[in-house]
Amino acid sequence: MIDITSFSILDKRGDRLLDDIDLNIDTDELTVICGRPGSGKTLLLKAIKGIVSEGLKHEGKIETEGRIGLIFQEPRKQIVRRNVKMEAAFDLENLCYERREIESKIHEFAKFLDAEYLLEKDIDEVSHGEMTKIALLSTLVTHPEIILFDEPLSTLDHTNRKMLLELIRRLKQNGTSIVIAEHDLRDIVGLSDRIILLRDGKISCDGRPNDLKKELHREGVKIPFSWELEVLGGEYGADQD
Amino acid sequence: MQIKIENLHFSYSDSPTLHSVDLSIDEGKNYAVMGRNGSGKTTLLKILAGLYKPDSGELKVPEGLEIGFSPEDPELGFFEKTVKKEIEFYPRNLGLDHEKLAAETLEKIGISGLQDKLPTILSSGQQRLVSIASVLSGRPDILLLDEPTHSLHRKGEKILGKLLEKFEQTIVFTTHSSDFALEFADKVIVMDSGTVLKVGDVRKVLNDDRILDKAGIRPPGPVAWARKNDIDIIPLNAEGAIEILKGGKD
Repeated sequence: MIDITSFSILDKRGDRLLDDIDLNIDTDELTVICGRPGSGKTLLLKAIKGIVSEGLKHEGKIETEGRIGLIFQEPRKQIVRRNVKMEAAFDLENLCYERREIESKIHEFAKFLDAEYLLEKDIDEVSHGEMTKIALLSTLVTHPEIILFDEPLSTLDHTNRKMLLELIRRLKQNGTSIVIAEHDLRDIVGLSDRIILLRDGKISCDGRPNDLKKELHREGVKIPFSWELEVLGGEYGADQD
Repeated sequence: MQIKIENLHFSYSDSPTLHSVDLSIDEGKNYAVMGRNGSGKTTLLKILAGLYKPDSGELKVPEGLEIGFSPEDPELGFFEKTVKKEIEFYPRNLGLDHEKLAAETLEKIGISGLQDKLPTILSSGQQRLVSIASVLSGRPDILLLDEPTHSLHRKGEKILGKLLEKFEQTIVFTTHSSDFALEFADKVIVMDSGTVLKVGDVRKVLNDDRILDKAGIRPPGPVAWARKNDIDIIPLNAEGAIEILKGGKD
């Protein structure tokens, strides 16, 4: 559960990068935060995780229950160790788990992610799509109740996208709350329960994907082609699913 | 033909990253380089940019050709304190009227409001636009863009696409977005496992299942729509599809 009350982030000049956000995110939901570049998507994710950059002030409060994992836009930037298995063990070692337990958790989640073949590899040997899997593995071993993804799809090719979407679907099925910052809904809309649309740091819309087609298009979010036809074409574009 | 590559090989380590690459780039055309993660798209672009020398083979580039390159991670290219200075840098180095060119470019890309900001604090989408502006401002003969649509929303993509259409020189860009390639490229260079699988007209290549499957490319929305509705002409975007629908009903 995530409970955000009157939350704002201000820069040095006092400009509000996030402005008076009130938001409740329940468990078992997949929520997508959308908006144009600079609307505050990444900032909001980081604030939920509890990281606000140096030099920024914040007001209001964010309450969360359970452990939170964050997958960066560039997963390479969150990987600190050279070997995949060592990387996956990092958080668990810091949480003082026993070696045997660490091993068993890593294998359990590597199996879930179809990533067992990666465990003995060096980080330099793995591909771009595999990097996302490794970041996800390092996060999952700590049993997060909430996983935040920052634009996870944009650098992935079609095959890796399908792989990641399938993993997200399975996480959702297992009851994990998922929050994704994205400006491209084309691949993920089928999995989404709720869309939060940000504009200049404020929430401008909040609802089910199907009810927000026009608003999403107006804000420049990438929507499925059939929706675009419907929004732009009126009577001509209807029923183009 | 402006640039010619013949039997080019390149590797970072033991295994080849690019092999047996043959390619001709024609002047004034827009090329989309597509293919899986790790298929060699970025390396090909960096070789065209002159950042890497091929291990063997020929790369024929006319002397004095001005090449502009925007990297996949825009932050790597930033070192000035304001967006404006960043965009003035390239034309200033070429001895051009940098203030005029920078102001024009900022205006065209619609980021004049960002000009006094520090580039590294901007969002990833804004950084992308600044990075592209910083190469466009130098009016290069060839524009090389690595994943220019990554972190851009639909409107950002449209602004960029329109600019690319108007830019009369040669453009080569990598992308995973088959919709963007269909709308704004003339030709597609399909990479697969370090070599060129196919070069061809964008409508033909992105409607060829054999190529799309092999290179792991998603069929563009308009292609899927045209097939489903038995329409022979593939529209380039939603506006084009609506024109076809209106024509059919009138």
